[in-house]
Amino acid sequence: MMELVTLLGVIAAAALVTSSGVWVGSVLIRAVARIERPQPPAEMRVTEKRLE
Amino acid sequence: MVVSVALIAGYIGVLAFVAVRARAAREYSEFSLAKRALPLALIFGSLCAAYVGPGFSMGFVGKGFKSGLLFLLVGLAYSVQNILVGVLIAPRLRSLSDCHTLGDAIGQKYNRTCQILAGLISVGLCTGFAAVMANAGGVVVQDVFGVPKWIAIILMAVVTTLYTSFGGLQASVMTDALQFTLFTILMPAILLFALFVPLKDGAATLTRELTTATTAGFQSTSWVQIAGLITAFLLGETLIPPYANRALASRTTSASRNSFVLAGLFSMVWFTVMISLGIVARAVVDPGVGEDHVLLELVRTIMPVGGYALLLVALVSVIMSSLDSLLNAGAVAFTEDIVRPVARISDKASLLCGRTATVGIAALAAGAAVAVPSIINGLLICYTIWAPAILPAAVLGLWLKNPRPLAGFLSMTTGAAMALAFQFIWHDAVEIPPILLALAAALAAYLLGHLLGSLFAESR
Repeated sequence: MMELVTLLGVIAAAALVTSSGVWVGSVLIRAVARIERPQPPAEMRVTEKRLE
Repeated sequence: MVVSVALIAGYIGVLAFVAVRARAAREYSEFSLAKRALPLALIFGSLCAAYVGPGFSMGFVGKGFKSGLLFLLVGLAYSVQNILVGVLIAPRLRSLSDCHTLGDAIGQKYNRTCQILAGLISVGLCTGFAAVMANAGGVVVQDVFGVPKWIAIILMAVVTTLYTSFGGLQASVMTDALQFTLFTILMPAILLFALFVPLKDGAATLTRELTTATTAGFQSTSWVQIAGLITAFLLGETLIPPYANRALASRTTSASRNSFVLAGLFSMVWFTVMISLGIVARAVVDPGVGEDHVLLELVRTIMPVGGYALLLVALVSVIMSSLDSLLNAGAVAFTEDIVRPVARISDKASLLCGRTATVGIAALAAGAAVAVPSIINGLLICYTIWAPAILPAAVLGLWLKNPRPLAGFLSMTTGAAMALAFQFIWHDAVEIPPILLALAAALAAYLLGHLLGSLFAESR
């Protein structure tokens, strides 16, 4: 019983650590993609605003 | 060897891609605080990546190997500290206007002299911590490429300095997030592999070694020593410059608070994984292996060549993410707290000053790296100086209504002087840990300065 509890505790800690990394990684990918996305030229942005 | 070099080269390629995407800082506010636009997840990842250095990875595995759960107890003090900083201090710090560093906050609460003093302590401490990181990085890179340690240290320092000096905090935070993602996936994978593949009955071995190591750990450490360690981990890294910069750079006050609270909770599970790796290593690694080498030895013994190379990538990430944070924080503290209060310089000149300081601190740290003792001991020396020198002045300054400049000045000078004296001159004079003695002296000096300052103010 003691062995099982210890093992489950360690596995749960490992899973929590990994899921934190996956969360931060996904936000990072979005952040990098946002920086990468080319900005439209100024006149297009004006047109878009007018359309809105 | 070829696999290791290829993996490290691939990792540096991805790192360079993220650093280039983060772009070179064009203004000083971008270099120092990333224009205060960083979201919760990135601040959280960067904060964790900054504190998970070689001490909280290789060092903790070594401590788990020698003393089982003892260091998990000690580590929990660090988790509590992060949560307390998140709840009590980070929102107050973030709410200060036009504040770039902790020294800046001290300057706003006390006066310019205190800011310069805080700046000197911050730059000195960042250089000390960076020397510990560079030393640990040297050990790992030496292991991969088989080059002399001094070349390994220079290699590590040059790569980190390149992207930190150009990209500033934005590049530091984004590369930290990448490094955090890498090592949070790789380290637990190594633990699960060690538990289920080489050991025939992983659960039984883990429980048996855990009991043996923990009993030995508590038997070989006195309660005074445990109290000293808990104090060091509770206070030693509180608000060190890279953490204060992250608290200030977050998008909102709540993002600042929540990132520290989450980082505190994360540290609990991280320490559990590291200590478990150390305990598992007892069944595999020779007991005579040095504490800092247990993790390397464990993975070298149980994993195939590719696995060992992956560990090296994880360790390089762990070390570089801490090193870049320290270099950036030290450079910003130098510019903001030492140069700008004395000389009025333009934004462009401040940016140049920050970049040059990054290079200077990296060079000093690389030079000092050879004198560093073991990783944990190196960190403990830095903790012993930081906590008494800065914390009473910073924390009380943020909380008191009318903090007195004399109190801040006396507390910082007394704390720093006493910490250095107890650490290096009177180390064996008393059994009480140096950090506790120096902290008590700094608090007494603060109280004295506050009373005298109040008296002077009333007599005017």
